[in-house]
Amino acid sequence: MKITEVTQPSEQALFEALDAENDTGIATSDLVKIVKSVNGPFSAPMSGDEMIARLEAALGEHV
Amino acid sequence: MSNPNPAVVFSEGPLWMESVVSARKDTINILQKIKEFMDYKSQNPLALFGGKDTPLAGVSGSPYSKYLPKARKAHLTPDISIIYELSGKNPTTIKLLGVFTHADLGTGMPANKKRSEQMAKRLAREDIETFLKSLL
Repeated sequence: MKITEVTQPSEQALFEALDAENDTGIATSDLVKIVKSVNGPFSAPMSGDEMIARLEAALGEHV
Repeated sequence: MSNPNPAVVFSEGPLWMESVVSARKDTINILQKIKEFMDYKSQNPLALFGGKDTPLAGVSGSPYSKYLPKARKAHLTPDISIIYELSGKNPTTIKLLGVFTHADLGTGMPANKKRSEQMAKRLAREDIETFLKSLL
């Protein structure tokens, strides 16, 4: 098993984990969508310059 | 010209941008402070940014030690800290979780443990459990 499989479980693993205890009446596939949308990932890595440019654009200022 | 293969890269968490925009309302130079932090860490991610670049967990048993054991906080101003985590080598990724005041973090004087618990869960993204339970 790769470490990424532990830290970033696949959609299938997430489905199986939720399905094992899902007695909610909500389809497990829908619960998977909810988990993925709320438990948002970190952004793709970027350089410091790129990150600052993103912040400048969001704040409308230049440093 | 930026380095196409930097040894240090940055990644933002779900609360990062929201927290920066919020901090900017009261702290006009917050972006400059963030840039200083990022420039400094880009040179050496393990170097301490000032005298108050410490583990966020603080005392044993705090909510942050439970939910964010690897997170660190570095002061950008006397009241605002940047919360981050380091991972990997070549490149080292600095995960930016947010910029928060002592009051936000529940670490002011006096400390607000309930606030710390709430923020620790938000930053650790474990509020998903509460969210799912609310559906049941």
